[in-house]
Amino acid sequence: MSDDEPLLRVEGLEKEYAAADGLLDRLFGSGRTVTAVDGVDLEVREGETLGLVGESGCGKSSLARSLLRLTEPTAGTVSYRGTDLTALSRSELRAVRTNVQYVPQNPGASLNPRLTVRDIVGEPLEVHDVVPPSERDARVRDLLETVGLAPGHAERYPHEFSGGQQQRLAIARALAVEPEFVVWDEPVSSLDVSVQAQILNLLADLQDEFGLSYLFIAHDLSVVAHVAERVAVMYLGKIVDVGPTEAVFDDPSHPYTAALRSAIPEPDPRWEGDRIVLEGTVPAPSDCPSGCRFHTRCPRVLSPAEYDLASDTVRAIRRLRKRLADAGNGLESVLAAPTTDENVPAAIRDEFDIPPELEDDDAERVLADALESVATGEIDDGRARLASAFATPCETDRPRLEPVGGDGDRSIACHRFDDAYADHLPNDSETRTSER
Amino acid sequence: MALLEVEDLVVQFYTEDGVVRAVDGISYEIERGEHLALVGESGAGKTVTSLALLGLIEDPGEIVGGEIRFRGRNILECSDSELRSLRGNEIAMVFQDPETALNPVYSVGEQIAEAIRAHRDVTDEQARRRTVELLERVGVSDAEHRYADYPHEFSGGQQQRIVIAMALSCEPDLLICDEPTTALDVTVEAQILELLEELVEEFETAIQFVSHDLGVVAERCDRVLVVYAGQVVERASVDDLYYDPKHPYTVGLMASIPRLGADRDRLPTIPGAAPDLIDPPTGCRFHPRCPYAESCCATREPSLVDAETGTTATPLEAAPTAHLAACHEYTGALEDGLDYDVVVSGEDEGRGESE
Ligand code: SF4
Ligand code: SF4
Repeated sequence: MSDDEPLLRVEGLEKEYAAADGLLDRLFGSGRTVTAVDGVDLEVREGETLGLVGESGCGKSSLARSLLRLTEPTAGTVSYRGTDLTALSRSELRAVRTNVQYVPQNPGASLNPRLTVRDIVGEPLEVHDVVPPSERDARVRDLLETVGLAPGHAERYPHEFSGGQQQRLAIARALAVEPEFVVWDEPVSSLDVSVQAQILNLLADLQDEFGLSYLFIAHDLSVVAHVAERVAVMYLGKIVDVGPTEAVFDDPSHPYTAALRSAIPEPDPRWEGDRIVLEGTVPAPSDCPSGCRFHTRCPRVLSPAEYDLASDTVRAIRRLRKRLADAGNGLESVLAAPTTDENVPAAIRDEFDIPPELEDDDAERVLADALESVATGEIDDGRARLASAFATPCETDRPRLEPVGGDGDRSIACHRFDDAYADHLPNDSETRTSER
Repeated sequence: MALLEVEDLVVQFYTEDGVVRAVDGISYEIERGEHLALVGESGAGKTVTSLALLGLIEDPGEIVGGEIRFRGRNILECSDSELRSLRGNEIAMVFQDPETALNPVYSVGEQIAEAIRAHRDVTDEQARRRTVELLERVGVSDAEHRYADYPHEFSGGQQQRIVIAMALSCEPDLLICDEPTTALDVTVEAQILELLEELVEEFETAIQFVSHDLGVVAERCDRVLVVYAGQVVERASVDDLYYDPKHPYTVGLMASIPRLGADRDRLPTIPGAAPDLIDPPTGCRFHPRCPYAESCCATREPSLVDAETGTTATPLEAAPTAHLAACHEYTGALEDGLDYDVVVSGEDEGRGESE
């Protein structure tokens, strides 16, 4: 690792949008905003590929677009070879755009259907005055050849090409201005595997040939693992895990990274592993959870420090707590089906997979009291007991992206990696395994 | 008799440029409760085959040959009303884009209840109750209240759950899933696939699974049909196909998947692109892209044979477990033969062992 200034350094980048939930909001503006990118720090080093992953709605594209000022960031700086892009005027920015290119998702929709290939690839040559007009056609043919298209196809229209060829066309157009840095937004997501492999190899060849640096956004982790030297994992506007690809995917990682990795279907019929299935989807930015943003879905939430419980038990109690927090004041809103069981506390334990008796005596007492309250109709009381006794720091404290390990190359935002929370690790998680 | 038997199916589309044979003599069968995958590139004929099963091939397309027997009855001879009753009731479908399957102007509850009423003799109240149960079963929380919500009020993953609820509302014997999770995040994909598996197990439903994702196929299917340029080029159990692929096209497909943990700078690729079906290549359709092609490959069409014995075997006659492939190698016609290594797991040791 070198100490050189990275090619691109993003610091504290934020992007807010006006919230537009309902029709009235959209008509009159509610004055409320949602934060799609919330204080992101990131570096791209010269010649490397940085992968950016996360589910839809986590802010990947907003991040990419705002760091290139395709949409104006709300705060933060983006320094490219030492120049702060956020401080540039429009015309200065235009000059930088020849160095930095963004290739949007779905080339079929982003290529103008009424222009021929020659015009599509030739337009940036003209706008940025890359080559004299007399040489433009020759350059277009060169570019087509570089990306593996027949130079003779210059007079065709985008719709005459297959999906893979359209992606090649988008690549040729991006290369026209001879950039140094390219942001690829899901470049292979809609392609067949065989075509996907061809495009991935092409991107690798171009990187070698022209010394390009890439930011590569994709939801397919196996693709990212293949192309990227380093990976950043994004959740709800924040980077939660970043580091060298192998470390991020192999080492004990952020619980979100572990879940994403585990969700990839394995192309091996003999694979037998435990899959972590995350519940639900990324919450809307307008509904951003307190504490760690991932706590509402995290399979590995920390337990309350005062008790010694297994992860499964912690999770089961959390589900009950959540149900109680959302429930009305009748027993029917706690139990899905009316119980014929005289023993209501046992029925509740059963429904939420809570063991008949907890391994920690103090925890057992609190839980038993709470269940007794619920059984006798004192739902409020039960709710309050559970809420206060089983609070976890994941709900209240916001984890920061901190370096883990010695060389400072890997950072994770999760309390599990913070020694200050060591007492809160569930009793079966000494090893901090990656669960696969 | 298998639940479904497709014999020598031929589907053509009439285009300005000529006649496209999208499906050219495909045969296969699906046993009760079995999960069969159709894999291959876009345009290979997977989706057209699925649409044919549902009687949904429309102008300018036409089924010009073959039979599709569902429980022994030829679907191609059914009247429109018989087809309608078959669809939804005995054969249901889940496609890639849930929005196209849901009607935007009706609430999701009404749509499912309507599907139930159309095929079952139930009162409105019974249909409603069954709908709420189904919505709950597929994981729509607060189903009672969300019954009256419209499709756009749900996320893509939730919509796909609703489509699944509708598809399974009449406990069909065969469910056709065409890229059911392609548009979804891996996390949501995992949720949906798990749900689908639980449900089909509960109802003993057979699945025809169309997917380009070889990871999904490996995990969810029993047998696989590899389709290339409108024809079946290989048929095998999922284990044989991944560990012992016989057709060079399958080998190429398998090799081109990026696998976690595999340290490769470049991915092996299949050169070129899928052929033009108006004027497909002579001989073996794969020969312009095949690394093992010899002169006979360009002139003679290989037939589907048992890869062990080399005897010609149509998928309906051969034992369902037989490994079939259409390549001259298996009839001894190649001089140099095939030569490839198969690497299945990305990592050599068991993956992700914790220290
Ligand atoms: S801080 Fe807590 S909720 Fe957040 S990822 Fe870590 S364990 Fe999970
Ligand atoms: S028949 Fe020839 S061209 Fe076709 S797959 Fe076999 S070796 Fe390749």
